[in-house]
Amino acid sequence: MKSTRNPRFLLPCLLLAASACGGGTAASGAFSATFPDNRSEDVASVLARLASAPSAESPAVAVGLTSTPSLFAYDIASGHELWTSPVGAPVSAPRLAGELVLLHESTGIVARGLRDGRTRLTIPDSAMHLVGADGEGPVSVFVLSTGAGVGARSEVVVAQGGSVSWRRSYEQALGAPAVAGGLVFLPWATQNLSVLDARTGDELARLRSTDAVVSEARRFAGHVYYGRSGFYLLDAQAAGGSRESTHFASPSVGDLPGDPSLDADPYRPAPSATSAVHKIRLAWRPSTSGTGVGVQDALAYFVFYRLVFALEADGGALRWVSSLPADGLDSVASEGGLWVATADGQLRFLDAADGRERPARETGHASVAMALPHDLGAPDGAAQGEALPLAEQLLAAAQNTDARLVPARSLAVARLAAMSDGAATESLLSLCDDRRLPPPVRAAACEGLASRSNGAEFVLTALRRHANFLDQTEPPPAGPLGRASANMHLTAAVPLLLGQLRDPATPAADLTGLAQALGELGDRSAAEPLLDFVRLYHADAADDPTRNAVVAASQAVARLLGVASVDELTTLAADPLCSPGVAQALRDVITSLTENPAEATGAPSADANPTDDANAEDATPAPQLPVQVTDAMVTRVLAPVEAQLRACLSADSTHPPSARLMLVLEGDGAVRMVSTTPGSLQSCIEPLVRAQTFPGNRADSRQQVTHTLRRAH
Amino acid sequence: MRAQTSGPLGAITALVLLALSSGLTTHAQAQRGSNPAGMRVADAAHLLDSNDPDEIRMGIENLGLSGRATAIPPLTARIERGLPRPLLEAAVETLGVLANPAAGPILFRLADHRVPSVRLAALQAIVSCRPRGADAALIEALGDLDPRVRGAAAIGLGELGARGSLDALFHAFDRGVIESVTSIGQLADAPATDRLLGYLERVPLDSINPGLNEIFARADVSNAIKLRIVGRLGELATPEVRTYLSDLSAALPDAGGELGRAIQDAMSRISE
Repeated sequence: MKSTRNPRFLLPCLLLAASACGGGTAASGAFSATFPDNRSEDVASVLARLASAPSAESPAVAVGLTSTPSLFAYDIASGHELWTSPVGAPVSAPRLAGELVLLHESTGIVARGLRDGRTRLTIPDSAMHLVGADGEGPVSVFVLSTGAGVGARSEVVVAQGGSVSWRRSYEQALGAPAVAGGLVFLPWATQNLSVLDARTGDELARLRSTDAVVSEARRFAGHVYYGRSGFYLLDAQAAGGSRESTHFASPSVGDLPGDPSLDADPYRPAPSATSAVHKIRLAWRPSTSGTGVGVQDALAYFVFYRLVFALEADGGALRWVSSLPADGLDSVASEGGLWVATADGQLRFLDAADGRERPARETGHASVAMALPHDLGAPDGAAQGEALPLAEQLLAAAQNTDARLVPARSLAVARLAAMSDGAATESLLSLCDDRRLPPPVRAAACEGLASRSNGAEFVLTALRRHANFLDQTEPPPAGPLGRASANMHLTAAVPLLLGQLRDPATPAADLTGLAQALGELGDRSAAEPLLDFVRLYHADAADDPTRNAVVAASQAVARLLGVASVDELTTLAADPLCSPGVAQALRDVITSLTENPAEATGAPSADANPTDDANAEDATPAPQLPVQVTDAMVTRVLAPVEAQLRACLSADSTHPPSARLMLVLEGDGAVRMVSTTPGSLQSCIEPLVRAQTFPGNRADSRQQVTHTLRRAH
Repeated sequence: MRAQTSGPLGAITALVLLALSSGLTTHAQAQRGSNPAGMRVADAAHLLDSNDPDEIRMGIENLGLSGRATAIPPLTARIERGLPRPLLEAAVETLGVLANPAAGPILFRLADHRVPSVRLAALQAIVSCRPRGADAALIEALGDLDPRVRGAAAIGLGELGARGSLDALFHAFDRGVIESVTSIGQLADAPATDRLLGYLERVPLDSINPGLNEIFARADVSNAIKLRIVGRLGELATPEVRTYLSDLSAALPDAGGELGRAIQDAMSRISE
């Protein structure tokens, strides 16, 4: 404990001569420059007063503002509306202050009775915002402020039984107050908490935080806390002034979109009644046990309009995510769950364990703003329905069509990507496959999919799909699927990846990922189809994605074949018809190959993880088929009729020295077409060829094989 | 499938067709693999190895002019080695002009080319070359994502006389491939005609009258079927039907025959 004499805080107290409503004034001294802070005896005195006058619970009443505009109060315990009343143009959201409801209207701060809605007070706002309020029994306290900054000024109003007891102005920014045990806990100047006597306004104690912002005080379960992103517990150790020397609780949940906090920052101008600030919250509450202070249920609830994420307070691990039917207008953490007042007029309670809802309260008013008591207890009744698996909850959140939710939907995708089970792969695939999703959400899903290391069965299934106008199917996200296949060492995917590479419906942007994956997977049978691709498009790479794909395919060939590919790549690089940029890229590949042959080859087959691949094999029959039927296989198949085939050449009137056979084989090996050059050999050769049994291929796709027959010497 | 005679490739087609149709390709010329206006096949094939795109084009044109099946392997090999698009399309069209089934494999492969215009040219060449499996390739192309390619596939199936493709053509028609209806008309048997007539209640007459025109123009379709169509149209009795029947009647070679009288009778029952 030490006293402070920091000149920054030596601001004079300006005591108003008279209150607007005839209330009395308190003695001067609050925020005096000479008042000592962090004094244990002062804190002990405050704690003694709190102990002798246990704080009363706040009425379980919610208030809401409708668009008409009107204000209503709803008794949560009884489930009845208490009153509704038309109001003037609202400036900010309503606030609860004990037995009063406050609404900043165009005429000023209007205080109505919580039980009857009757107007008790109207205080001119003097160009300030209503930044916070609290109440206990008949005592209500509220603070008006310009917010922090040069020329900041604030006013505290204390009312008793609906009449102003005293009000006091300060030339500095004040935070949101709490009331307990006849004491007012008033944050100010971002790091101080002054404890005032609610009756007189006398300052009884002052606490100064050295390492956390203090902007609001809250009363939970008989304890007073103060802080902002984290809360100090007001106890005997509070005079320590720092997190380490006091009891301090703060959820650690990592970065979240929208910069959420427990409530609007009192040191900034108050947001309008309908501001998004009210709909983007990090709701949590400190709780005190015998061992210290922590976070209630060890959960912080991130509310983003209509999505609620329950995050473990000690690291941010996701417990559940809930998609609400309407925006959350106010949210309050409670023991066992989260209260959310939604714009459809429902007061919902989401169970901390799994996010299932307990029976909701229906206020009957669609609202634009709501205020719930801070210390609301959990409702009776059991949670309803079944809790979906987390991957499905995240998928539903990511697929929410509300365009405002994109940042939270992206968060859902990121959390999906962090999950290790295969169901997450399926969900990420579903999202990456949905081209109607906002680009940031889809991009995050595709990136997550590309990084997967399990869920091979979903990857293989997706790769089997091809776009077809008549079937109204779209191409799968082949690039990310290819990268996922490579991550999983999924060699069973090779023929499917080749099928996607050949499919003209595969978006050009996906080709590079496909080619890279084929190179990484290390199945050398992919080299020839990749070379075919390079040959066919190296002179016709009109756009960047195609050009990149040609280069990636050549790199994959180099990786698969090593120096054995140099001759072919050199021929292509020397082609004067090469598309711009391709020739140089090919030369770079060749240079890399010749300078680092071992590195280029990469021996990826040896690196393949047979265990992971075995998982994939579970999803598909063990592929004993070749990736592609090669000329060598055709030679073997035709061996039994080789003599007869040669006889065809000898018998032909043109006596050709050789003949070229072009076979088109179906995926199961069925002969779709036999074509001979010269054509005069067709009638002799075709029946012989068709009589043979050819192997199918793993991709179960049609392929073409060329075979040359030569007459016997 | 008719070879294109317009656009940048039209010149090649026109030149080749002129040579092929003029009867100048004698047996002797064919024996040595040459053509009167150009060069030996081997020389033309040699030009395909040039670094000069103009020489490659000349080689392609002369291979087309040869009209020889021996022109196909060098063209195929050159395509497989990779060509810029204009030359690729010229080579594909030349294969189509050569109209030899031996070109099938490379054309099937190009039917999966990434560029729609190349796929379109490949399909048209497949129809021209009629290799085994052409109908299957065209049926598959009905599902192409490019509408021009789908349309060409639909038309090609009619030209191929691929009766086994009727189900696929109806499916394509259901999906909006309007070119399918012409081919349906060219291929339809009695059940398929009834199936086509079933669309009269669901789609405008304009959508299916290209198919009906084909049926009425076919000599292999019985008068009974044609009379059934007229009867069904008469039941609709819409102004559009009357206009259609009127045009049909005017186009009939035998307007006084049974079909002509049935048309007149149906028209007379439709108020103007």
